[in-house]
Amino acid sequence: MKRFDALLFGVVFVVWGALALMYATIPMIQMPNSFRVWGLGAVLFLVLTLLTVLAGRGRGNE
Amino acid sequence: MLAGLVSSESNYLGGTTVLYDGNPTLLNDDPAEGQLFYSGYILLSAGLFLVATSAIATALRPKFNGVIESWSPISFATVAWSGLLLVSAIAAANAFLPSLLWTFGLRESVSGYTMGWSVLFHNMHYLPLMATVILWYVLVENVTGVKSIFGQNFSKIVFAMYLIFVPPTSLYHLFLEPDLAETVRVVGSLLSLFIAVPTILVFLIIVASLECHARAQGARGLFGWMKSLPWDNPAMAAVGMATVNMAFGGVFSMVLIQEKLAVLLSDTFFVPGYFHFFTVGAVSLTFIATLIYIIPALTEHRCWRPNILSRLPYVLTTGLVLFGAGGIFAGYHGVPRRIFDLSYHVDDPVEHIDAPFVWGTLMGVVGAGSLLMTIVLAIYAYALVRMLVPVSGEIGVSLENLRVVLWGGSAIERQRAWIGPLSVCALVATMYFFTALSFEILESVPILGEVGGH
Repeated sequence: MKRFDALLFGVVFVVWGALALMYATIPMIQMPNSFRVWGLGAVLFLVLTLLTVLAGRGRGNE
Repeated sequence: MLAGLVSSESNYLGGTTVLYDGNPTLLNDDPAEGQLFYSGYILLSAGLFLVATSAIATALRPKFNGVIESWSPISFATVAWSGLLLVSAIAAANAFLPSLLWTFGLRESVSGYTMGWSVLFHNMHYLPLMATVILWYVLVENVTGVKSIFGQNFSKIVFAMYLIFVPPTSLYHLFLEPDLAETVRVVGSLLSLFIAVPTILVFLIIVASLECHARAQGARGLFGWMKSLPWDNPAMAAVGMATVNMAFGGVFSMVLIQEKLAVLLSDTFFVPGYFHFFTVGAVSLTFIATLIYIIPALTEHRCWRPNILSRLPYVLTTGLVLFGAGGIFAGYHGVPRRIFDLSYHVDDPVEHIDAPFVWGTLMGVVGAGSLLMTIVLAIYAYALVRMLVPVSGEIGVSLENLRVVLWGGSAIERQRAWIGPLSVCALVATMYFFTALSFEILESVPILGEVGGH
């Protein structure tokens, strides 16, 4: 599958984003600061997903 | 990164009290003492960020240029690993930037430091572990020609699983926090079990792929097929022993990260005992095996005495088993870690403490194991230097003449592959046994505590 690499990074983005949201909003877990790291990580994997999709449309692949 | 290293280390020349984890509470008397230290850590994280960015850009370029449509599993894993490195650099900035600003008087004192450090510390565990497993994949393909029989996409899913399982498993680093909710402790214990899943899956992929290819070449017997692997190759021997050591380390790590046991064992010698199976036995050994290939490839020198190098992993593992067994049982008996005086003797006007006799015996075993490991690592270091530096009258074998098997591309048809699943069953059974044993042994802790005078 041509976009499989991007799909996997997309899944990582979704999981990390959900965890960051959970850490930020559920006080019982006591991880209030960590949402910044995992949240920024989620953004980073979103960027990686988009880059991988764009790269898949490279010059020779069209 | 070099500037960061020099900056953080030079701070110690001034006699600062801050430790490797950078806990700012130790600098309350004079925050300015930590300026160089935190500057160094921030520079280091910036360097890691740039290294990871360049690695990702390198992998993306052939895709952008249309040279490839899809990454190989190894390229995908490298990009995923680089992504984790980027996040770790962010975690380092999250942990140390507030402290840096505090030491320069640019903000009030830091709160919530422990949490920031725990997240970074968690990532620092899995970066080398994931890198090691990726290198197993690379080295095994190099010495046997075998690729995964499960297909490229399955390997990519497994490598992506590292990124899925790393964040939610970080809870176990908080087990020593006294005010952590009981529900979170239980959930953290359960989640921590998942961290081993990707590593076990990569092990299964590699072993099953090797077994099927070996049987297709005519190998027979439940274990007999292993004899056809090129054990005379230093990389093959190192990867073989690295998987064994990883299994030893994995068993005892699962014991330690159970929340009831973590509190009792975390400050004992149990931790160095089991952790050396990972750090020396799996990570360092795999990286050395990789250097044995990389250095001659770059320098065009020979591989120094492969007949010696291919036997060193077994000696190293023997040393590790002595060190690990001695250290783990020493931990069960309450021998502390993070202590300089190995006599464990306290003699002051208030109290007089002599360590139990068994402590000395067990730490003697640890010492014997350490000695063996040191000798092996010294020989490895010498070999790597010999391969790096041009020496007249070179001794050894050229890289292309190292013993390999060429099973890649051969038809394997339908084959049995039992060793992988059986190994995992044995691993789970051993984890269960040692977890139960640990609970049994530690029930006697109060009695041992009285004997030890603690």
